[in-house]
Amino acid sequence: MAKKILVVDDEPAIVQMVINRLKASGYDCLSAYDGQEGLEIAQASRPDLIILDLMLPKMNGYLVCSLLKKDVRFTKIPIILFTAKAQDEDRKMGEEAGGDAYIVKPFNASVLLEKIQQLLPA
Amino acid sequence: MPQTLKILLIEDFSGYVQLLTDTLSAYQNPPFELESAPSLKAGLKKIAAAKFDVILLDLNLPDSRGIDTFVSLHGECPQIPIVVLTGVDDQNMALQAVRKGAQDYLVKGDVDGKLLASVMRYAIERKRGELELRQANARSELLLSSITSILIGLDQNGTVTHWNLVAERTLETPAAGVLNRPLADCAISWDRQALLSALEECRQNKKPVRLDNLAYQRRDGDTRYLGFSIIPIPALEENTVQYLLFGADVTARKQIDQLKNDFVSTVSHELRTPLTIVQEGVSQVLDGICGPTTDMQRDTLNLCLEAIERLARIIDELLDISKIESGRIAIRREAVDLKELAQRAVAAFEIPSRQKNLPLRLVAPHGPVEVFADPDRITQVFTNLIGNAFKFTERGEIEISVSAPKAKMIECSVSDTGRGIAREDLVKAFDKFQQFGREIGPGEKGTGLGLAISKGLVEAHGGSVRIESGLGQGTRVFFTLPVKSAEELFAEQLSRQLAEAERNPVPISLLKVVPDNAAKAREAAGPEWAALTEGLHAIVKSNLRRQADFSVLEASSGTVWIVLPATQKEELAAVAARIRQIFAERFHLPLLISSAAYPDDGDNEASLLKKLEEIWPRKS
Repeated sequence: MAKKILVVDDEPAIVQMVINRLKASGYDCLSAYDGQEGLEIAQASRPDLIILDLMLPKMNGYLVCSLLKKDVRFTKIPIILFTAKAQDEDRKMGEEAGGDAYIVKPFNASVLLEKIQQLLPA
Repeated sequence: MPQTLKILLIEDFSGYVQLLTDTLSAYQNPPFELESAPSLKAGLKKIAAAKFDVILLDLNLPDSRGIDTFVSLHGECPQIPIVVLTGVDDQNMALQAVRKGAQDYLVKGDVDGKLLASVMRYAIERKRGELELRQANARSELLLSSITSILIGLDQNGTVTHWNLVAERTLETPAAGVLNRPLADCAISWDRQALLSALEECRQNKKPVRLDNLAYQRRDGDTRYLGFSIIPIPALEENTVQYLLFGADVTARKQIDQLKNDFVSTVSHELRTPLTIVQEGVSQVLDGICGPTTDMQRDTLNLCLEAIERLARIIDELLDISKIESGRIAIRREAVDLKELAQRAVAAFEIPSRQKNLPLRLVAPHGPVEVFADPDRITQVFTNLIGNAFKFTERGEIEISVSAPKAKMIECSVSDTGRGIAREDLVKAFDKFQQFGREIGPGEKGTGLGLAISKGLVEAHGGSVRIESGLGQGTRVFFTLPVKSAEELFAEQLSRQLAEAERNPVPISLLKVVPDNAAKAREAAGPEWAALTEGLHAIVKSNLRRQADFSVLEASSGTVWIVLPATQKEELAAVAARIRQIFAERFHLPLLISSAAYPDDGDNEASLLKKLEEIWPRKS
């Protein structure tokens, strides 16, 4: 069965691009456009992996990430933090929130796919 | 005809008045006119009524006696020269009067006309000279006080000799509080360290030094920025130098700079999202995700992709330069092998090297060349320099060199056999937006920021850059990086944080961690020692949470030095206990940990370092 990936970003075009890419590589995709929606969908449909933007309306990505990581039911879901922020401070905050990987926009599709493969359980 | 001298004689003994009148009458060149007054009061009345060229004053009068007589009179008419008349026994008092401003004195019994006439003439001349000097002084004081810059004068020992009104106002400190005191001791909340090191630089090089953006905290808590020029001036005495500090409040300029940097930073940042969409969209069409494409479509899209990549690089460079200029560039230092970084940078240029038939050569000593630096940033410097070399070289070769440490510095260089830069352009080579090879053709243009960024990155590491070139002679760009011991790096970090704490009071905690009985442990570990010390450092790093936390490993002794800004003494014990526990679990060895905290254990580097040498009682 195809792995299920949730993409959370407030920029619809980015979500579209990432989903196109993931579908082409054979993944199933879910989408959300703010932090709260992302958290709810993650809790309801338990994706195999989450790609999470950090600057999100309603609830920022750091919070979504740490809430999921603190919950035993979801703590094993790998989370790739996805952001245009390239500041060292943000990376550190992302690590503290429990993110498994960090990808900076503009992203390289092959790097993203490689990260996903590394993080998804076989 | 010479002007008549008007003399006022204040003397209560009329016989003496007569004597002097007679004596002087023999000397009529210049002619004089003598008036007399029998008391101080009468004398003052005459002075108020007429103008006198000189006053002869007896100190003991019916209404005033002794030195006070002179003081009162001089106070009333400071511009008229006074010659004091005194008895043989009273010479000391007369000298006192001279010290207080009398032009001369005469012992009453000795007076002859010739002497009296010449004494009076001298007194008048001297007084005139004195007044002129005072006026000249007043003029230069006026000039100095009308300067709208801060003006501070220092003698060769750094003691304050001048402190103008603007200095008083800007630094909220009256001259009286600082004059004749070492500048270093003045209680002014500015970045003392930066100021003193600039002065030291001026003292050593004997050349003017510019000091930009010296932080000064005002009484109301507001931070202002001052710009200073420090100018060495040869003093009157031989082999001594004085210093003039000209300064101004440059806060407004800095704020504009800040605004510009923030603007560049925000705009570049906002550009990334649409850029990501365009780049990924084009890539997906090219990758066939959106259906089959023709060759011509793919050619066109490939050109777009190249342009997008160039745009992404420009945005990165703009962000970098804005971070460098605002001093917010983050340098994440770690122990790195410079040779390895150079090798990696060279490897990245393998394809252009083959395409342009330009061999790349790396010249480096045997074995690793270790420095404490940010590997990503130093790689960026190498890549920038090699990239430039490729851009401006058509034939020949490109050589990258890494030297062995010399005088605690490592020098690297990238040289090419290209077109070179005209000598008159060399001074601008490291400025922003400078391009000297525009005519080279399409597709070769950059932002002109590469060298400026490289310079900023090298300087952020405490190094420096220079360039050698000439038209048609190729170009060689050098950069140096300081080599420091772990302990030096630690002390440097500590002093930086202490300076920071002086401006913005926060506690600072220090830890020194070393395997117990290190010599023995090292022997027992044998070749595993490196893995053990690196393991210890990794444990430390995983326990440091903040960006500003600093740790450095001295590999040979296995010592890890840690600086934790904004960390209370109480929190230290928890950090230390965690490190101790994890290390014991992994390596089955006890650790020696000592600590010191600012301000609890000391308020300066020396006392904190001393405290750090005291070892905590070990846990059993």
